[in-house]
Amino acid sequence: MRRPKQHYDSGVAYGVTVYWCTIAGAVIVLLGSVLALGLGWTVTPVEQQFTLVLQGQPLAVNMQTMSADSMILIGLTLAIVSLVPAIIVSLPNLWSTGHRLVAVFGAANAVLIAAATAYAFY
Amino acid sequence: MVAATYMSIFVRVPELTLLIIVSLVGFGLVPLLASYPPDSGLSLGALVGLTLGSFLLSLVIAIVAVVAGIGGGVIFTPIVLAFTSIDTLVVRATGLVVAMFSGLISAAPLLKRGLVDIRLVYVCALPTIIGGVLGALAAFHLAASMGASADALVRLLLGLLLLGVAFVFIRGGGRNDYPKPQPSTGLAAILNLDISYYESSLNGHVSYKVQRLGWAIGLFVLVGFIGGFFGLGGGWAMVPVLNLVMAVPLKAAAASSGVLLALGNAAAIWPYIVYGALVPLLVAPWMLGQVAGGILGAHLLAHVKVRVVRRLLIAMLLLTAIKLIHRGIEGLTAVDVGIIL
Repeated sequence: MRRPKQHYDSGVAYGVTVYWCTIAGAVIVLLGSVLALGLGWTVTPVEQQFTLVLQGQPLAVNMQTMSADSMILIGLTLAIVSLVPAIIVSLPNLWSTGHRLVAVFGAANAVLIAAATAYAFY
Repeated sequence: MVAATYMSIFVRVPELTLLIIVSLVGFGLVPLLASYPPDSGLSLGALVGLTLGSFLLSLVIAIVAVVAGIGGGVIFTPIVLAFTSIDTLVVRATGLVVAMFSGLISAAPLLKRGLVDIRLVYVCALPTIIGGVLGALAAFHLAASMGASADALVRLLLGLLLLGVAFVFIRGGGRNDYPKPQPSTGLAAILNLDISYYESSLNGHVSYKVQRLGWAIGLFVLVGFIGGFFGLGGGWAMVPVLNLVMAVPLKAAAASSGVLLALGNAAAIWPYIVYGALVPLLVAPWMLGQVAGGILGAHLLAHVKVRVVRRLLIAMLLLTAIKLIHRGIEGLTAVDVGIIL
């Protein structure tokens, strides 16, 4: 016999989406770190970046050129932005189990995160 | 018992084991690959040591942060601000990443166990996101327009507030661990926020009804603002709001706080990235440590006794409060108070 739909399933759908996207983001961040530290694939040399940061001086990292720095940022972005699809996949079940106002709250969260992300990139 | 629990996690969650091994091997391979000029400032050994050290410290911070429900930012930001001369905006941006990533990764295990209810998270996240973005934007405007004394005054007041919250938990003892369920009223009743979860340390289900949701929404805007402004995340205040104001059992409050932090800070992080305050190479080992430690902490939280969560939370609140008061007094009086904390 099939178990009836519960709002609990929305939470699991949200959690699993974020979990795997964060793991994928972590792998990209790790790869970027090894490429930066090991092969020096960065616009500003690695040792110079650390020296400036540890001395408390401002550091403008060039993200326009593809490098290990931008790769790390892509990994972080993937994990953060995954919240939007994670919320979206959880909403139909919340709606169909009668938690419609909560679904509206969830949708508003997704819109705000998506808007802040869009503002950052454009 | 705890050691056995940890060992079984490594078997049951192979992706965690892989991530830790690949991280350690990856950072360990760097000295074999790298060839920096000898006059390039930091030595290769120092760079690798700094990166590996950050990863391992972040892993430990994430475990403590998830079990106490405070988010790692509240430990990371004061420590790094106190012991290094790294630019405060860079520290706060990294602090937000530290605060949110353990919450992102721990969401799945905690939601699957029912310790966190997605309805509660969505309702509380909206005011936190709004407050967080406003706080992050205010941090940049105030950094440019106001002096350090205003920043010090806010730290001092925040420290005193935290001290008060810590004493409420100390005086309340175990009374607030499982608040007595009362009928929901107002918005909480409309949203039908009647929740229950299986408490493994009691070997039974715990039920609760959310209280005073209207007040809590106002407080979450404030918590989000302060978290976004200082790069602390805000978990230190979320647990008290969930437990003392909304009558959520302490362990469920600690678990929900971490998941809420991830959502609440997701928008607040962007102003820091736009203004160039996020240094990817500095953030990377901290993010990786939070991911691995967040998974470990989430699995441990389900088995830990609520008394342990309360004591850890009180210790963290007291430490943070003393540190904030210390820095507030130093900033206002320009006198080195000289305590190592």
